[in-house]
Amino acid sequence: MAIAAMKKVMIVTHRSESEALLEALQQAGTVQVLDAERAMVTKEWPQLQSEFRRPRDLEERVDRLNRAIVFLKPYAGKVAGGLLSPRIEVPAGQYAKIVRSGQAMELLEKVEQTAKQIDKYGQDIDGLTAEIDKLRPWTPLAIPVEELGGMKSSVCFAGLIPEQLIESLSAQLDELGAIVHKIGSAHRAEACLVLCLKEAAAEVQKALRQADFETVGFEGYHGTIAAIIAEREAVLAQRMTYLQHEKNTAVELAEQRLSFQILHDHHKNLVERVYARDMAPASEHTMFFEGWVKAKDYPALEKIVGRFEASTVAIVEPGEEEEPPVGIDNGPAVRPFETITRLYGLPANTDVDPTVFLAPFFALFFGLCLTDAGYGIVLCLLLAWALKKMQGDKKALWMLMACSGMAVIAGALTGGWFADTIQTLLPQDEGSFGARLETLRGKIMQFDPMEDPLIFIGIALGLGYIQVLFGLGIAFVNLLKQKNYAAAIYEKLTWLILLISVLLYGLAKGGLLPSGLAPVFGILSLIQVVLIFWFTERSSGLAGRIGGGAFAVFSTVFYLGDILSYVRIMALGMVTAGLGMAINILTQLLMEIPYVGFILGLLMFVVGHTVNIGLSLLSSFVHSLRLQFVEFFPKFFTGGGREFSPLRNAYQHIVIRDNDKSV
Amino acid sequence: MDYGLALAFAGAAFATFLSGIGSSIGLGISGRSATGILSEKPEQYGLMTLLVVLPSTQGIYGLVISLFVMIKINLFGGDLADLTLAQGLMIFGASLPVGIAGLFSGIHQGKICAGGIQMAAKRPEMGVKAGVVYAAMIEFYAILGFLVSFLLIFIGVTV
Repeated sequence: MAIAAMKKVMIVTHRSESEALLEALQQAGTVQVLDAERAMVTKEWPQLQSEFRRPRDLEERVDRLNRAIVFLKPYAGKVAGGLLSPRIEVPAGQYAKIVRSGQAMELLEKVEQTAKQIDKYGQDIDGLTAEIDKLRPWTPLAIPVEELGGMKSSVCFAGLIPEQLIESLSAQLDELGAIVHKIGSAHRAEACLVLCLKEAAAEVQKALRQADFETVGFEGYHGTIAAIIAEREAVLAQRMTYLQHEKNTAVELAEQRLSFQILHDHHKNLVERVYARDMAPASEHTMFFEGWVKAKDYPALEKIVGRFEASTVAIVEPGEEEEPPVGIDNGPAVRPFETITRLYGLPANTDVDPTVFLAPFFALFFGLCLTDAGYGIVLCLLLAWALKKMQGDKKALWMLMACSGMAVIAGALTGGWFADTIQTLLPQDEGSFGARLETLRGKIMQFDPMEDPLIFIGIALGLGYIQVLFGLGIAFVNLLKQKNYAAAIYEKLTWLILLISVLLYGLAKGGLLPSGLAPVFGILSLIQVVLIFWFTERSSGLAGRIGGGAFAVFSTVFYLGDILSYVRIMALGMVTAGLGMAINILTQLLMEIPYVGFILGLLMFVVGHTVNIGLSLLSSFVHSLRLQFVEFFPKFFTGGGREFSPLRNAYQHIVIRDNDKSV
Repeated sequence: MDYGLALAFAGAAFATFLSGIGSSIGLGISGRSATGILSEKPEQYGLMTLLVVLPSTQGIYGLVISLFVMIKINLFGGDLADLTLAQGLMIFGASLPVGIAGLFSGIHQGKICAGGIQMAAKRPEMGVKAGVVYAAMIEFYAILGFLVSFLLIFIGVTV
């Protein structure tokens, strides 16, 4: 239930066995293999470091498979699963069969061919469509295009004149002795032939340029425009048929998409393995897999390596400055809350794993921020549905489930069921369903925060006080374990005693404890203040000691601030209830409308409370998180550990149904 | 007596509209920032939306206080409460913390969220632990405003 103990191991193997050994290691997924740069063995024998060459063939193959999978996606029709379970279950036997047969790789070439053809025909079609569009305005031109311009004394310009300029341009050209002959209309322009004598050509051209005349050339075309268009349309139709044919092929190929997905995942794992192998320190015949393994996994590792004749494994001492990677292991009840720890970053090696400590607080704070049994139940149902549907890592969902469960409890104890729905929206006649529910609600309810908000504030601050003390306690124990007794006593224990005795002093003064005890606790507090003042900066000079000590005493204010910060729990609980009440008031007002009132009211109720659940969920999560990260963690936690990432099989597209035969 | 009620009305109005302005400006800032990022990285929609909506809570705190004022003056019961001028002024004053704290914290939370959005675009793994948590720090002061308004109205004013 904490940070996993790590063992540094050295696996030495003959090159001939390395591949099979790594495959076995990857399948077990327990060893993080260090590359030559990070391994300690190369520090001593630099000659073991060899140049790393990327496995380009394999990488390219993964790329190609990936492209094929993406390409086939639109042709595959509706794929089962959806958003929550995008990966497809594959029986181990099918997986092995597809990996063994080379058939899918042949198909891959066909897929690539098809993709290329579809691309090409698409381009052809685009080009032809654009060409036909360009020619269409000229259809009325009855003479073959090559004859346009073959005149002795005159010149002919063909092109598009913008609609709004055509009149002024015609008048201008008229003066120059040119004739404008309209052929047809294009988009916001007229397709025109402009004829003029050769002598006037330069002037005419200038006028045309000024009017944004867009020359259309017919070079390379023969025959009438209508004939050209007909011919192009025939080609277009043919290309469409080809394209459809290729698309049909793609749909057929898409039936094999799963094979590509299987191969993709298989090769991806293979690439990871090859990286591990080729980056490891090695001599001509021997490979050195230096790495980390969780202590509890070591016996299993020994067994795996024992299966290989020319390989051996041993525990070695880590290098002097070497920090082991951090892996956290928790029991099933606490594990979901690792999500929160990971959000912050993993603990350092000298830390304790905060997961087990934050789990009850986080769930409790979340529940109190939400404080509504109805909302909690709705969330639990939604999460149960999502848990059933979702694949892969469900930790976050389980965590929210625990939190929502806590919201149900908190809501029931404070009488919140969809805010005040039971009291206000259900009829309260004697003996009716609403009245019975109301009696039940009253029985479960311990206090009504709307009437006694101070109790709620007290609970919030009390929890804050407990969590701050708890954080100090963890730090105290952890420092003791590390045999750092001075820091444990002067930096943690003094504060613990101070915070407790100040509270007891206050209680004694307030009459909740015998008033004779007040001086005792007062003196105890003062002793702590002196200790904190003098011993916090133990290794500095006198000036530093006094300055640092004064600051340390002043930092009492920060503890006060930390504890006050927990008051947000109460405020957020009230906001949830308050907004819920607003929704119910609106529902009530809508219900009074004749005929459609009930439907409108129901709509308001459902939509309003859904929005409130969403908003409350967000702020409950965010603020519970903040209380852990900002108020709780700094008391005992440094963080910044490097994550333990063993070499293991990972699957992006598929789930293998039988884990034992995953290769 | 009418002036008392008028002041209470003004208090209810101020609570929502000041904090509403804060949330609106804050959301404007964070939303604009996110749409810029999303045009390049649509896959980050979830995280971006989380960061965009954070400044929306101030307006809700304001609304809830307005609602408590309405309950206090029995707006929904039919007969409006009989408030003295002093009582009206008390309600008016009590409504201000949530409004003003919400106004400023909303705007600044929007700025922090916009910063968080820019950061999360480059380093998504920092989005929640820095972006969201830093934004929650500013929000605390809106929560304090809410709390003070709430206590003043609920416990302080007796009608």
